[in-house]
Amino acid sequence: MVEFGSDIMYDILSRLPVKSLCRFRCVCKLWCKYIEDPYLMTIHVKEEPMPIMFYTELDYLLCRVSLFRTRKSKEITASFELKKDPIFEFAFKRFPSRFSKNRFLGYFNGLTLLSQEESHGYTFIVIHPLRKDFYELPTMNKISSFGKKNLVCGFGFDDSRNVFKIVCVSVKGIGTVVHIMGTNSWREIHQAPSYPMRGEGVFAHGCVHWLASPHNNERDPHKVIYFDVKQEQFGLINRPTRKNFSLINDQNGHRLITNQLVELDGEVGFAYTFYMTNKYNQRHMEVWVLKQKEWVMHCEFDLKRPLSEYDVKVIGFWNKDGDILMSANKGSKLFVYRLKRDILHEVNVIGNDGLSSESHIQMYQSDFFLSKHRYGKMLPVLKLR
Amino acid sequence: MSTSSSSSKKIVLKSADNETFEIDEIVALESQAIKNMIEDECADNVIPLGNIDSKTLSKIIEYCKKHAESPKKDDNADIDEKAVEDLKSFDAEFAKVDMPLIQDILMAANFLNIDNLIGLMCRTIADRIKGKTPEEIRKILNINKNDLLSPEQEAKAREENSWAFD
Repeated sequence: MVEFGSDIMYDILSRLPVKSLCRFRCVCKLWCKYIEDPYLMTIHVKEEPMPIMFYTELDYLLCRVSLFRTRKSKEITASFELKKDPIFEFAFKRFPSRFSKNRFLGYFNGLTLLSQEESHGYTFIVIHPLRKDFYELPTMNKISSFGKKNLVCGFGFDDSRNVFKIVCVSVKGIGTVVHIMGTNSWREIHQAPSYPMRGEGVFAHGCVHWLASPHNNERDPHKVIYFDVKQEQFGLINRPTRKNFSLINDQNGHRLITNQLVELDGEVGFAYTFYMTNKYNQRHMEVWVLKQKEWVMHCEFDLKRPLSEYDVKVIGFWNKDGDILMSANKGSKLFVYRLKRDILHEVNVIGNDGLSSESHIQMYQSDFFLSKHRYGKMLPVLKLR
Repeated sequence: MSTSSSSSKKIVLKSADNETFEIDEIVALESQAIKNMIEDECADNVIPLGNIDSKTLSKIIEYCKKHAESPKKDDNADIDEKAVEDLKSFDAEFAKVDMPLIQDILMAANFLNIDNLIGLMCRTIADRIKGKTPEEIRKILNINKNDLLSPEQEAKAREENSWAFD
């Protein structure tokens, strides 16, 4: 064969979709070496993210991961095809207690952090679904003193040191601990956020972001808290100012239902859902994106029937056009808002008996190339497949 | 003032099979390697290219001629869209050759340091192989049989990446 130099091999491989690269690890040893090289990740042409579903069995012990594929069609109403067999299945190591619960805490570049809450503490697991790898974090002894129900976590990447970091904060501000993936301990840092925080941590531009909650009996601070993963410091930014009114229950009768932080194509997104009483019982959504420290409105639209009946959660941008993918009714239905056409429609899910309310769906940016040495030794968890 | 301009200066390229190609210097300047040689004044009238055959070289000259004629992006910010489209369709047609020739052009473009052409050839190869199986890749690119994974390694890699095989 013509022997290409490494520059040319990287050039060719960087243009291939992740799926092809996964397959081409089998071509030969040389290709495998190139594909596993972390350098390839840095030059790889980013693909459109795809939705991925985590489905926990009722006993909370088994977690299944499935990928969605979009069925290409010229029609307006597109459909997803859910892969019949899950790509990945794993079990939590400990048998859960009756009250245990799995939570999804954050994700970044192909890795997802989730926790299982137990009577005596937490188990944290980081999964790389496409490589079928998972990594169990060391036990956090400190956690018992934090109070096990009151922990908010985030997941991010420190590009100055090329390490993944997980940060956990006790809601009441008692303490903050950081874990570097690949090490075997948690380190307490003497930093605390100005407000209690809630929800999933959204990582973008070197910082994990959460919604701020009010201190006891105080008013909602309307803030977003961030944690700079490199500096290991907290900071505060304002929420976007809603276009349609300013107070939670203003004189026009606009009543806030939810707000949510979400990753939108590598940026921090903020979604408000609220009632517009001037249109009878009509729900409305505003989606904002943080760009260069300024909130820019991405879109706003009415949540018409049947979406007006459900709690709606923004999953992310469906495509490069900035169309918004949303889940409703606890994840059992999917909807998409088409930005350019200003239409909202349900997305049909084919296969695997559709969705279930026990599922967690997120956008998955498939960065396959995280080779193992970047996140340390994978600790074995009971593996079923 | 002299009427002779640098654009009418001729350069002669000689292929591995001793065929000579006389081209305008401006066309030859598409190659960063030749450009450096000319600037360093170490290019004779005839530049021998001992590792490029005449079939490949004539394709490369065809490409450089077209790209030298086209207005450059940095010359003019509002370059007319028709020219861009024209160049795009030229590139698309240019790449419609068989895989061995693509590889030869890529190697030669790499040697001559013609950035756009390297990019075009890499993109073409990526597009052609992305949907293929590992077996097909080995055949298309004539992968060295001594470099294959052991059956155990291959089975493991397939199992780990099973989702990518359907």
